[in-house]
Amino acid sequence: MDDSRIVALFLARDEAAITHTDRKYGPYCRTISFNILEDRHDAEECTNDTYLQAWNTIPPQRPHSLQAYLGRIVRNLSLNKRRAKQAQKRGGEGYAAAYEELEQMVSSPSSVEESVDELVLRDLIERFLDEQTEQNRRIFIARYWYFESVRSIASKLGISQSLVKTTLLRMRNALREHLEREGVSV
Amino acid sequence: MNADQLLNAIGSIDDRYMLAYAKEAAAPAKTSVKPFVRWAAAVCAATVAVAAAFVILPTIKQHSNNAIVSDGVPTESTTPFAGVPVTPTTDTQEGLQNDVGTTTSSDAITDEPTQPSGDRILLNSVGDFLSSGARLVNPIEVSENDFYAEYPLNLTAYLDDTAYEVTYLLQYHLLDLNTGTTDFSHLSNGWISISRDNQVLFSVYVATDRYVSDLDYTQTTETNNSVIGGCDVLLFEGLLRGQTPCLYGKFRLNGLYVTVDTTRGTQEETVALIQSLVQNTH
Repeated sequence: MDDSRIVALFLARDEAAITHTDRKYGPYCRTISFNILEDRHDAEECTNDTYLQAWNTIPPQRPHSLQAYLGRIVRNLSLNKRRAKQAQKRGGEGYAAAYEELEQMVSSPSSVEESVDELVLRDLIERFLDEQTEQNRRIFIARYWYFESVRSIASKLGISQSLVKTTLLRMRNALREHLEREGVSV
Repeated sequence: MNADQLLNAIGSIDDRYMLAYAKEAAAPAKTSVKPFVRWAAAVCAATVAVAAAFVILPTIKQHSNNAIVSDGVPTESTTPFAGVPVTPTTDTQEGLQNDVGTTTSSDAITDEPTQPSGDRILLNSVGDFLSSGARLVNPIEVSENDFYAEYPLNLTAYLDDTAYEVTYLLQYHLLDLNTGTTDFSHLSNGWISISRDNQVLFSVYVATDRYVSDLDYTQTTETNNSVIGGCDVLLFEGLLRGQTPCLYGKFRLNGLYVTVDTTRGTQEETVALIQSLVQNTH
């Protein structure tokens, strides 16, 4: 079913909206959530919560892209859940590994407590991504937006794992330089 | 700046960046499962699909042909899967299951006609099964978290001369993360919805919290439920019936238990379900 029709069902408070959302975007949401939580049951729960949040927020929201809207919700919910469980063991190839990579990137002792305006940071990241090749951009998004494992990214993009790792390392370094050049201490 | 701030900022970038990878993100990873497991999954999918053609469809057909009658109003002839004509049958479910036990999939492929013939539907390939309206999502590619099948089951039931469409959508995760094996008995989720005149009156989503293989139908598994729509459904006790896609459970609506069984629901159970759902939601 077309997204606009699904959104129309939400707006009409028709519960079939949830059915159609799950049919169309259930795998997408579960994948994002599983990449972060690395637990199928938690991922299922977050996916259900995503539908509920979509139900509670549409209306008044009228997302232009339902997929992007659901993706953001499930990512945020999953991150919150993951952070709540942060005290538990670390490990895995998805979120935990991606988080540690970013943590190392911003591990400058002088900037630990420094707060940065998220909007400013977002704009800087977008400009940084605009300067990248399409493949590099996709690798970066796959890793740090969707929290895909290196292995999974390599498989889906048809490239080697070592190329993915090398690209990510170079991009993190380049992003650090880009942010510092723009006055953000990392 | 810390890693959380950076992650949040990345999470808030414009839609166009994330959507550029959305298709790949939704696709299953291919390398996370060993080739043998993938091969086994494909074989399993094909086998079960063919078996389903002999077990599920006749079962549903029998179900839909069973007189779900209230006040003397018989059911209309229904088509369990869109596009598949249903012809009357006198076979019993047990008889059909026995047929499966004595008929190999290769027999079905080579010896049986594709079109309905005689008193039962014959589907001789996964392709036929899929084109019948049953959907196997990602039937070949296996990933850790996103390999599942869906079985839509549709029935028409009558209550006080009013036709109600009862739809069950069963979703199965086919890969057991604990063992790395495929298993069609892992009922993951289920949708039950009641419609009248194409308007959804009630819809409940059930998510099991356990994945138990080879569970005998005499056992019960208490599960969580997730309800969307504000209906007072508090409890779902699910049963998994071997390898046959089904949904069995007891829903509690305002203190009243309603039994649902997609494989052998009786007319009384189906009518009771509709009565309870309609009365409790409207």
